[in-house]
Amino acid sequence: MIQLDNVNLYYEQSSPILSNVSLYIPQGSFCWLTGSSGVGKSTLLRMFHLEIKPNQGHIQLLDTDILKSRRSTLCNLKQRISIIYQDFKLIPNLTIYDNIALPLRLQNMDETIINRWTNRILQWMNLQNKTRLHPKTLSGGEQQRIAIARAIINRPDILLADEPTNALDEEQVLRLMDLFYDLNDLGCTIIIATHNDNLIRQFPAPKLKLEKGQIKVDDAIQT
Amino acid sequence: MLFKHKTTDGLKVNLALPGHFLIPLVAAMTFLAALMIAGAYAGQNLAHRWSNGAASIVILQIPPKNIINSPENSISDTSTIVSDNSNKLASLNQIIELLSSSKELASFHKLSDQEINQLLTPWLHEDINHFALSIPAIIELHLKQNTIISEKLKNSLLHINPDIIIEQSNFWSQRLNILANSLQSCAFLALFIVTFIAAIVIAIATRTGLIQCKQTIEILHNLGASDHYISVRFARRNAFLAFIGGWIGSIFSIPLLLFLTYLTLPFSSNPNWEIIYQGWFSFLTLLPFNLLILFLILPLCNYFIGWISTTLIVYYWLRHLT
Repeated sequence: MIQLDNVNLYYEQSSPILSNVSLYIPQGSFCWLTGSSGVGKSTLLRMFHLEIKPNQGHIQLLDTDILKSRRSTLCNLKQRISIIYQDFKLIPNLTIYDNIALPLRLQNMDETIINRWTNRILQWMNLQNKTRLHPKTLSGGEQQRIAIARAIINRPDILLADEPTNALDEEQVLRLMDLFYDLNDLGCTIIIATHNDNLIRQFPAPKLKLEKGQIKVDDAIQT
Repeated sequence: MLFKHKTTDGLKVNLALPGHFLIPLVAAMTFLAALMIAGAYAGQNLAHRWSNGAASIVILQIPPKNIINSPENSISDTSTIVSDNSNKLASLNQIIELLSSSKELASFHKLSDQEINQLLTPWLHEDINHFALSIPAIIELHLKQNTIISEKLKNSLLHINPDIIIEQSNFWSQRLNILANSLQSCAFLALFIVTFIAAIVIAIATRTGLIQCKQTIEILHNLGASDHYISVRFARRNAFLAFIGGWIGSIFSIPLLLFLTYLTLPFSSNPNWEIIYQGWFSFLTLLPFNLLILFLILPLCNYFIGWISTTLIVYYWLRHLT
C-alpha cells in the first residue's frame, strides 16, 4: 500500500515535482507511471523507495509512516520494496550470481536457499551460463535482466521499475510482463514508469500521469 | 550475516582501507603511547614513594638535658657522664613511652649507636664513642598519614625535653609530591592527546575509504543493508589494522623502555635495584610486571579505538548520505 497525504516534493530552483498531492495505491495494484521526459518520474519512484524524503506531507508505505520511523525500520522496509533502475546500478566488482544473490544475503538467508533461488532466476533469465562473469562484460539487455532478477529475487511487496523494458527485445518484454503479472497475482504492488505508449496499450492497466506537480489517475486503480 | 558474506557484498574494504597507510601511523602512535604510559607509571611510582616515604617521616633529636642547659657541665668527668647518661635515659624512656601510646604514628625507630655511628662517620671521620661531645639520641617517626605531626604531640615532647629538635621534612616532600603528580598528569594528558590523534587519523582514513566505496554503499543501502552492517564491515578492517599497528608499536617501544628502566631503576623504591649490574637476566627480573601487562593490553586498546572511531564516523557519514 502506498499513501501520500498533501505531499510536496521539489528541488531548489526548479519547478515542483509534487505539489500538495494526495494519493492512495492499494496493496496488489498494478499501474503505469507516465509523464513527459524530465517531469520527475524517476524521482517519484526514488521517493517511494525511501531514497529521498518529501519536503512536506506524509507518506505511508506498507502501513509504515516513513517520516516517523527509525532508520533501522526503514532499512527493513527497504528489503520489502525493490526497484529496477534505469541505469541498472549493478555492483561492478561482483559476479552476476553475487549481484543477484545480494538482497537475499542482506536478509541473512540460508546459503542453500540463496543458491536454489538464484540459479532458478538465472535460468529463467537465460543467464545460467554467465554466472561467473562481471556486469561490465555483458550487453545492456543482459545487464537489465540482471537488474530485474536482483529486484524480484526476494519477492518484494512493492516493485518499482524505471523504464524496465528499454534494452529488451520484444520477446523478452513479453516474458518480463508475464513475470510482473505473476508477481502481481502473488500480491505485489507494481509501478512501472515508462513513456512507451505501445507497451501501455499492449498491457492495459491504470495509469498515473505525472504532470505539472500533480498525479492524474487516468483509470480507477484496481486492487 | 556480518562475517559470512564479507567478500560477496562488493564492499572492497581491503582496497578502501589499505594497511600500508594506517598500520605505520597507528604503530607510531602506539610507540608514543607506550612512552607516555611508562612515564605516567614512573611518575605514579615516584609520587607514591615520596608520599609514603620521606613525607611521613619525622626525625626527633633528643639532646641530653643537663649537658646543653648547664655550661658548668661542659667539662667532662666521670660523675657528669653518669648523670648525663641517667638523665638522657630517663628523658628517652619518657619519650618512647609517649610515642608508644600515640595514635598518630604508624611506627617509630630509635637509631642505635651503631646506626648513628654509621650515619655520622663520613662527617666526623671518627667513631662517636671517641667523640668529645655527646651525640643526641635520634628517633625516626613514621606518621600514619601524610600529615604533619600534631601540636599536641609536639608540646608533649617539648614538655619532656624542651631542647628536643623536631625535624619534619614534609615541606619539600609535599612539593616534590606535587611535582611528581604534575608529571604524571602531563603524561596522562599526552596519552589522551595521542589517543585522540590516533582516533582522528583512523576517522580520516575511514572517511576516505567511505568516499571510495560510495557507489557500492549506496546500492547496498538501497537494497536494505543497515547502517550497522556497513559500519561493522569497515570497523572490522580498521580494528584489525589498528591491532597490528599496536603490536608493532609496542614491540618497537620495548628496547627503548628497557634502556630507560635501566637508567631510572636506581631512583625507584625497589630495594634490590643494585642487582641490575649483575647481568641482563637479573635486570629483567626487576622489570615492573604491571607495565609489561599494560603493553600486552595496548594492541587490544588500539583494536577498540579503531572499532569505535570507525563505527562513529561511518554512522555519521551514512546519516549525511541519505
